Amino acid sequence: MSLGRYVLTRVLVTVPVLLGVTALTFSFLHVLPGDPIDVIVGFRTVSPATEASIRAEYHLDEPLWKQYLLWLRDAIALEFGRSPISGRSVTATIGRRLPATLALGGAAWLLALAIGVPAGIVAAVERGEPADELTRLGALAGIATPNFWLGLILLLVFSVRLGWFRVIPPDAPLASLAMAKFMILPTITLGTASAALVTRLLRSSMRRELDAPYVRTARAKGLRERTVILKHVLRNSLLPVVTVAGLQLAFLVDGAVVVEQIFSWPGMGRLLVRSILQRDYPVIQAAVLVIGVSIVLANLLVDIVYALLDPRIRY
Amino acid sequence: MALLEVEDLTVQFYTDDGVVRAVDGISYEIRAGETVGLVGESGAGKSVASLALLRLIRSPGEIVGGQIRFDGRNLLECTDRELRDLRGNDIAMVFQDADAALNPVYTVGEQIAEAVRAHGDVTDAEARDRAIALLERVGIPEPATRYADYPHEFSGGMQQRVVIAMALACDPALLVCDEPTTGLDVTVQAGILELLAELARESDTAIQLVTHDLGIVAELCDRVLVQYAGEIVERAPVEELYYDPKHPYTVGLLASIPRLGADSDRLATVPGPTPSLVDPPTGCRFHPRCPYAEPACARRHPPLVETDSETPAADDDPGAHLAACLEYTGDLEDGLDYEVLVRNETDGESHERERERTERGEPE
Amino acid sequence: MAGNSGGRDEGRLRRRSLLEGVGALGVTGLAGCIRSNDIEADGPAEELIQEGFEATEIEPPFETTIAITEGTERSRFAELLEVALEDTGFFDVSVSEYKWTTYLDRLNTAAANDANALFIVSWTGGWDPDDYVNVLFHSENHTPDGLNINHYTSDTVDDYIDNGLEETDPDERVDIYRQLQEHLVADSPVSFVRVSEASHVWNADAVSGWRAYPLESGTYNAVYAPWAGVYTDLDGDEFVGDLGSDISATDPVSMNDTASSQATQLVYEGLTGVDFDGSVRPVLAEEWEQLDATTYRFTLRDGVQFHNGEELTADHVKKSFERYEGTPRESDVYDWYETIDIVDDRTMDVHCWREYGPFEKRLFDLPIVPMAAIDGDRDLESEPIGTGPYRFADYQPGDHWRLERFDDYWFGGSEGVPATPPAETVRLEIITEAASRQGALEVGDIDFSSGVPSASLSDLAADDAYGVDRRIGGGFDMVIYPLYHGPFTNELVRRGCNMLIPRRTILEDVYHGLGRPAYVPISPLLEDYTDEAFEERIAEEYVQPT
Repeated sequence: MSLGRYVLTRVLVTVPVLLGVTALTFSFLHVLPGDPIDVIVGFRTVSPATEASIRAEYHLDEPLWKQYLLWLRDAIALEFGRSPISGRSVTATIGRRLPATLALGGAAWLLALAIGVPAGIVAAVERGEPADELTRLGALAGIATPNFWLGLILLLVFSVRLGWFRVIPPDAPLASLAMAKFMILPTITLGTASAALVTRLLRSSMRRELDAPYVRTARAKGLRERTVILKHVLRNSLLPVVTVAGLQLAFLVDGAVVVEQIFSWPGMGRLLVRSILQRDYPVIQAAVLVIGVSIVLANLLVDIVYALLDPRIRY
Repeated sequence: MALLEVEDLTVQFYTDDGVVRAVDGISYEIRAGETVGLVGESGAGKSVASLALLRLIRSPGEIVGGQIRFDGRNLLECTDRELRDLRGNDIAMVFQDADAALNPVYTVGEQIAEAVRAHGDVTDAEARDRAIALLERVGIPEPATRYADYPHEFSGGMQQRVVIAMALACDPALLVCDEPTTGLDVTVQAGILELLAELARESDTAIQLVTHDLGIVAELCDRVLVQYAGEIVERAPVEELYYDPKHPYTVGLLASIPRLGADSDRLATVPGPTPSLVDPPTGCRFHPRCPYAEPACARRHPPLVETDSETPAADDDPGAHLAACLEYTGDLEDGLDYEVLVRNETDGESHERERERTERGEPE
Repeated sequence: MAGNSGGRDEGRLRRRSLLEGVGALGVTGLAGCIRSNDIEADGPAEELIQEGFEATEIEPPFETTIAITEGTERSRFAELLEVALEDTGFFDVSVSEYKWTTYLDRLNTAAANDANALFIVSWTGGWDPDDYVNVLFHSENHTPDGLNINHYTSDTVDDYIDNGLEETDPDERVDIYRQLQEHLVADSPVSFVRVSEASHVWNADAVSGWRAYPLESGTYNAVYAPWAGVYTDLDGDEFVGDLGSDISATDPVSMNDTASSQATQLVYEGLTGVDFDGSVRPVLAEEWEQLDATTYRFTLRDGVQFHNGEELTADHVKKSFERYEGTPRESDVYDWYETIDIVDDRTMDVHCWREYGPFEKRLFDLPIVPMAAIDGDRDLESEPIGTGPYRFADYQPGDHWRLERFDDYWFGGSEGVPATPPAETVRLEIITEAASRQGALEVGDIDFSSGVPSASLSDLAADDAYGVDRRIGGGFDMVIYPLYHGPFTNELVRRGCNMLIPRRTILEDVYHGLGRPAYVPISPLLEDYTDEAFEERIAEEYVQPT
């Protein structure tokens, strides 16, 4: 099967997966305590008629499965309706948050690779040497540091004490120099743990590959050590890293709540948490769908990169 | 001057159990165009000795002594850069287990062309043409098409041919083949051997053939070195070794060659366990397994001497027959007691062997 | 003036945000000194408890739990309470932490499920005494319909609440609510522990003359509230403040969270306003008089324009009120509103269906909106339109909210307040993390913050670079007893517990001195109802007997 067809099949297969994920979300919402009507009316007493009319307006009076089907019908047309809590269009709400999340998540992901890959290579090649020990300690610290703590420390030191960065995002478009500068600290905060993870993973996978006979073959050919490592060993060592990097990509997209809080970043994480607290079903559902799609896309990307990296993997 | 002169080469491995002398002071030479076999059981240090030639020994191993002179130049004193120029260019290696020796994620063509590019100022297209020519030379059908195939798309035998093509990329003066046919089935083995024999015949390339299979040695080699526990215990022109083995270990090896119909993959074995290299036996290292061992064997380490004249192997006469056994220094009281029978049928007893079969390589 | 700054409803809706704790820590189990089955009562509190245990025939120690939301403040609070109760030997106490939504559910079902738990809960009232008692203690407000969590039922209290609500004579009301408060403290269905404090911090370079509005939702009145005689001088054209969370809704009929009220404070105005000291002032109404017990005649200010150019008329007022029907906040209006008779464009008679004590203050909470919104041509959720000194400019959800000066604002200037607000634009940055709010203030990203961590306040106050203003607010923390369960059915036990609560320690340890110990339900912010002498008397009589 060609790669193109493979991708197409995979995309088609994701449709039931997304259906399942959103259906599950709906059922979980039902199990969770709390009624959206409480939030809508702000825990006030309203007349039964009013409550009924509010429920009807947002289909809250329908059984859950029917609410889900109604949602599904609209979602297929990419119409996510209005949030009963804010009265604003869900599509617009998510549309504002998603770019911010993608920008920060993407930057953190690139940072994780930009630091993790070279550090992993150095650690593997210099096994037992000071450089290896150094990256090991660095990675350990990176994994062990809660990003809440790291973010606050970075903020206090570099923004508040040294004044190098703003504490809150500047009033500038996402794609601007000022915003790029602001994103440095949140990116570091979000990307550090992933960088550490990539470092350790790549190190161990490269250690394994370095002992492989083909490496000796490459050396026996008279290739530079650089070529041996970067061309022969690295590519074979990347598979486990790609798997994790793919998962991390998804994680960075939806797991950034803490960083978003500290750096006042208008991302999806905060939106989702807030929506769950408010039982804002349409927003939760749309956010879950977006996150689900992002995870599916990340996995698809992983599979494609797999196939590109290793010709033995063919579909 | 010989093409390759190895003198007192010693390689150690540092393991948890202690220091292992995988190669313990071996010396030999290879002349241009000559094919020399290096035989011994697994664990005798043959592969280590071969890897040492290109300084491919990796931590925890280390070359701790001796010299390797190639064209008169001591490889152990080369800079990394000089070494790199030598590897694959002057001395090339054919590894065992071609499947593992090839990088699974690059096309075979690229892996050959890469070797060409590493040593010549060639364009990518030239390197590619050269790689296709090499594939053709080692007998890969449709080489231009197969160029773009990945190793896993080749059979074991074809992979081995690719490895050989890769080694031939820069017309090396010396080809070190480390068990090139291990793991291949007999027909395929025959093909590879045929290819190597052709190389040996038609080019000036000298070959060091490392194997545990005396049959292959008989097929291809001009001279043979027998290695036991890190040491060379016998050295002789191939005919002499087969018809007149001088060392009891060689005798044992010859005796253990599988008979017709037996599993040809079975490793040749001599009764008894191979010695520990962390703490090798005193005196003659073979004495614990030697049927002719006497008390003196456990005390005195036999030097490698010319068996006829009982003089040390100081001269570089390639035709000389040397062995390291106290028998040849006159220290053995009862002497060695075995005879070699040359038969045409496969009914030999333990000390006999059927020479005709091995010489033909026994196609099935 | 708009938002939900003053009303009883304010309290209700803000329960949500106030219940939320901060952070989460494990429970520290400090073993109490359990003496034996026949426990020696030590001091008046323990004597009361012992008496109560005997009356209910319960053998001490009684096992119970303190239920809290996750968060370091709450868990420290609970820990201190736990130690105080266990030290008596009558109780064997554990602490359980819940996620906020789960906690809310537990609160709602506690009485129905006979939950053996003490709840620590925060509540915010407004400018009227009814805000502090009705929804918490009236027997018609049992959960899940109201917020009477432990289903407290007392005819006396119900009567006080009803009478207070329907009394329009100020002196009579003070009397009623004082009696009500004393009765509640004597019965102690809950313990009042601490009154909150509004703490506002600003950069002295950029802002001068800021005054802290006591109620959180009215924070930004200080920017420019000519009707209250208050404005803030600014160095520069833009004032940058902060909001502690996202803005949920900006249409008055559906707005129900603090951040939304704060954000729209300068956009919407009502007929009246409650100034910084709690006095009712005319805003869109120029003057009014009470015609009879349930009828008021209002005269509107002349020349008031909406941001969309409409001219304010009596019809706007009538339709703005009636727009509440069938909306989440309908009770804001229909708790008292019957109809409005329009006399002329600027004059109207407001008829209440009952005598309504909080009437004038409630009007503060009811923004008058333009016909465009009433007719549905304009959506106030996407673009709030009012008559306030600032008009909506833009909103980036999760990021910031921006207003610009409204040039046709009705105010013509006075001795104390300039006709034009000093700030050309007002930007409110949404910063959810308290440490980041302080950081943003320190580096000058914002000029003002209402959410600096309480631990930092004294340092900032000592620093000349910052201005700090603190005012007792309408929020308080309380401990809710399970009236329906075990020894807590007995009021002597509850009164004993009430005496044991380490209010001072909690104030200092948990809140770094921000706020004041509380003994009575109504905040001292409402000076008429809870003055110092009254509070002292109640405290001495019921909480700290000498």
